Amino acid sequence: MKFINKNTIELDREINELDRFVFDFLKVLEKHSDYVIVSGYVAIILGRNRGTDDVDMIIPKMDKVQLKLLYDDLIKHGFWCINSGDINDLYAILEQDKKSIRFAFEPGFSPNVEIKFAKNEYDLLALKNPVTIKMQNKKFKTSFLELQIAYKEVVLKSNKDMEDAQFLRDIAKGFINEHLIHEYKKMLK
Amino acid sequence: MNAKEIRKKNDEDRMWFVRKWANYVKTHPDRVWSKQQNILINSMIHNAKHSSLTLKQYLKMKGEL
Repeated sequence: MKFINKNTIELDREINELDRFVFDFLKVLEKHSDYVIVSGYVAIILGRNRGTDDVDMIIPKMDKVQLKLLYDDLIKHGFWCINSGDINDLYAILEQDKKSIRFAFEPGFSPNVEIKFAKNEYDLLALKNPVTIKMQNKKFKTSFLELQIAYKEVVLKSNKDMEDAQFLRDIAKGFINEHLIHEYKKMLK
Repeated sequence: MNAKEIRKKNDEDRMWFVRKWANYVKTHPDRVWSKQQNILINSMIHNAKHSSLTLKQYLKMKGEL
């Protein structure tokens, strides 16, 4: 694992089933939208030895027409949305309820990608300053680690999240900015 | 030990292992640690794919129903 600069990490790890699923999803998503991967999968990519069956992603808010184009393309590539097949329902979940929708390979529901619209300044910041993780000939964008750690330690706070945060702190020691984590933690309280 | 103490000890043990594993990841090539990590992840994915859970139960479990 090489921390090239504050926005790039290079990995030479073996690919697993979850990574393959994420790559397949991103191949479609990237045609339609920007994104950042957040939460548990970020720690897992960097080596945390725990499983997950959902991968969280934040995307910029889009209108219903754009969402329909993304949805249709995902369907064309073998995915389905496990929450609903009605684009109006899906848009309402994302836009009005500010919640997420999940896509899996049809007819299964695990693993799945959970996408939600950016809904606050932290989500927008994560989208604006992503960390690119390069893995073999693939790359994907994640939220920067300082914000991930602060969010897990102040907002989420479950054992699993505290362990993820500690893992990220240990693995990226010397690369992450502790002062920035402290500042985000103050702002998130 | 009472239940609270057992939970605390369990949390401490888990965190100890997280940090030990982080050190292992830092001190071994990516190909080495990822091979071990992938055994866990691939097996979880396999189990989830073959779970008897229904979609309704799954979404309920996630708090989305």
